[in-house]
Amino acid sequence: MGEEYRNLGMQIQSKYAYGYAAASISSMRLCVDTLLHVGGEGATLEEVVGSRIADWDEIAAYNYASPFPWVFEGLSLHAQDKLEEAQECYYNAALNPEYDLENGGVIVYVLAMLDNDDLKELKHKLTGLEDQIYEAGIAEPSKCPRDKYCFSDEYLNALGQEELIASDGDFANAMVYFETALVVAPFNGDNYASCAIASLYSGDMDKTIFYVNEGLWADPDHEGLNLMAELLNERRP
Amino acid sequence: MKPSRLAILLILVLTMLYTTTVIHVSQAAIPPGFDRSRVRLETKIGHKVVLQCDQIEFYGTLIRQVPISEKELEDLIRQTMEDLGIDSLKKLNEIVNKAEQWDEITQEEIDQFIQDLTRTVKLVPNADKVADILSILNRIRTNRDPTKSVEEFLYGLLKDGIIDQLEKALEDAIELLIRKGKEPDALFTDLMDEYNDLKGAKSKLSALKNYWEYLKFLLEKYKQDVQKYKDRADAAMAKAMLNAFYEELQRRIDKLRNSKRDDKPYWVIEFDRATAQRQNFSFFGVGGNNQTWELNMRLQQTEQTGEFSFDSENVAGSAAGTYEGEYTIKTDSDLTAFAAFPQESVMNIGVHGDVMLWNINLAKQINPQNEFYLEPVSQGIAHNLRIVKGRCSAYVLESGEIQLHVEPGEEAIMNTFSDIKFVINEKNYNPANSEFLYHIALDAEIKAVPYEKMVFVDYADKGYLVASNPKYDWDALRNNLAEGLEIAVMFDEAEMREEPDFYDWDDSEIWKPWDKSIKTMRIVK
Repeated sequence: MGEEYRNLGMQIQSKYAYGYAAASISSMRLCVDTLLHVGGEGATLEEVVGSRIADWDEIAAYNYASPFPWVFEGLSLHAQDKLEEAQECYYNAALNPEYDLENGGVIVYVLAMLDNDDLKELKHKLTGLEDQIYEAGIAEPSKCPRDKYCFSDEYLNALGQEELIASDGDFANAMVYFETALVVAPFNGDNYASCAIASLYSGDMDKTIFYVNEGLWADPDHEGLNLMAELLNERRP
Repeated sequence: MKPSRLAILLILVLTMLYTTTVIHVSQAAIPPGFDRSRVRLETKIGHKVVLQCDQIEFYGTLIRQVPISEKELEDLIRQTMEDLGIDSLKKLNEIVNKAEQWDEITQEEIDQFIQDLTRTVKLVPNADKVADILSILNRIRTNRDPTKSVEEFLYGLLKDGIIDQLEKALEDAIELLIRKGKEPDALFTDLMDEYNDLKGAKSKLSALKNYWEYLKFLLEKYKQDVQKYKDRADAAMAKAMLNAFYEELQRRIDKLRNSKRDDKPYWVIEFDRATAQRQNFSFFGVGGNNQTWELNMRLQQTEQTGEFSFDSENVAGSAAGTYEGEYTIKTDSDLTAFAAFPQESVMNIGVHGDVMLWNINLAKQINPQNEFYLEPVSQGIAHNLRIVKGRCSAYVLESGEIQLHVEPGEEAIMNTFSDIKFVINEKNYNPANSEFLYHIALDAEIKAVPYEKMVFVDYADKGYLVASNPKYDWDALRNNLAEGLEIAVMFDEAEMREEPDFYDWDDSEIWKPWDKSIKTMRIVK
């Protein structure tokens, strides 16, 4: 899917899809590593994980739209009998409307029943997928810190606005939240509008025009972006 | 009344004349919508050239070029359009890009645009800059829920409202499932099973043939998005068509260039976004800062003076001679180390640091036991972007040696400093018995003038009492601090009460490789 977007020149959607895959696959792989370790593999978890990403927050930051980092972090804690923390993670996953409320837990049961040989086979497949995803060089983690509501672009935009108020109108930090909102929901013209305005106030007209055009590509009837496009063409020096 | 034959003839002649004129005009010009930046009229293959300035190196090329005339380019464009069935590049561009690119933009033009945008969204600017920005932002975000007022955004109530909505959406979804007679996922609604019970809960797996199939099923989620971009099929088609056009045109340009290799060749020295890294330079006395340099330079041969040639089968002719051109050097400086140690940096800001040290030494002479120190408050951000544009010339000797001359050029600066905060502390002791008396402090921040090579230290209006010996009454000290007194030992008291003094930028190291070093250029075979 990410490749398909890339071939169509839809770089933001491509980043979204690759990021979603990175967060989903890597979190499953880290969960498998944890289950292997709980099942007696390796002296430490680090030894089982090797050089791959071992931080839940970093994995989730590839695309907060994916509920799976919370699901797999929950299962990893569950397997270590940290039931309260695990339940909190499952709840955080369920907050995301993309989580299947009726059947979402099935994957947890699926992984829990696997023995170490099955888990090793699964890990082999997952690491192959991980390599493909990261080699494309498109997915990159957001600098926005993880919390349970980060799957919502509206929430991220609200954080960006709070940051704007706190920094007295400096877009440098707010931009992190606006760009993360765009990766989470790349078909909503509002998220392009935020990035376009942030770029404008940061003095980067090329980026402003980029976000307006990409936004109108994704959301052609967006009133605000169409208004900006008209004005940009009208006032073009 | 019927028109006379003469009138009909006149109309016909005029129509023919007009048509001929239109055809003539359109044939004489590059078709509208053609983007020159998407094709390469010159070859990029040549000899490697290195430009060295102090410890940084840029790599460029010395290339033999064959000119392609405007007429030749125009013919290639029209033929390619015809072969690919493209009637109008302009129309394709309009489908793909709603806003056209701006070239050579100044900050004034951007400021003017912001003013125009403010007027267009019918916003009356007020004194609160941030409120204005947020209002514009929310008037352009037209998909958002219109029931949410701008005030909600302004007063930071939005986040809490969204959190409530998200939590409620989950409750509603659970309720809906229950109403439909289905059970929500037990993992988070009920008390969870122990992991061992979880491992034994195989009944849930009856629907699944294997976990791998299930993983694939999860990733099918992407298919939900397919429809969203299918709606943009026209734009996708136009974009693909434009890509195909420019690729094919480039192929034809290359072919033409290769077919006319002996047609008045000339040489070009080019650095096309050549980059170099520099690490660990000092800024206001604090080392460990890093920067990225980007050089765009183009020097075109204006006179050939010799027969110097290379032993290579894909080039010929003479590269020796004089060259003239322009350059743009961009320096992106990450001053994180400087920002991390404001207590050191501030001591090196102009005479400011000298005054501070002098004051401390004086106070120490009065009571050597007193302590004076600065400490950082947070990890701030400091960033500088400098762009210099100017003319340059070179002389390539027949031996292959290159003499380069670079004119100083025009400079533009952009600074982003934030949160470079520190605290000035003063601890006083009784000189007779070393008994602790009080600890006072003052907040300060290092700031930069955004578009100038200037920094200043912004002090809080008043100091404050951090700790004091409870044996004594410190009301007088508190009153003095409240009036902005008492804390003047370590800094220039005048700065606290009036406009701050601006100090010159430390340019001793930051741009030294370009500004203060000998530049040498040579051909690397």
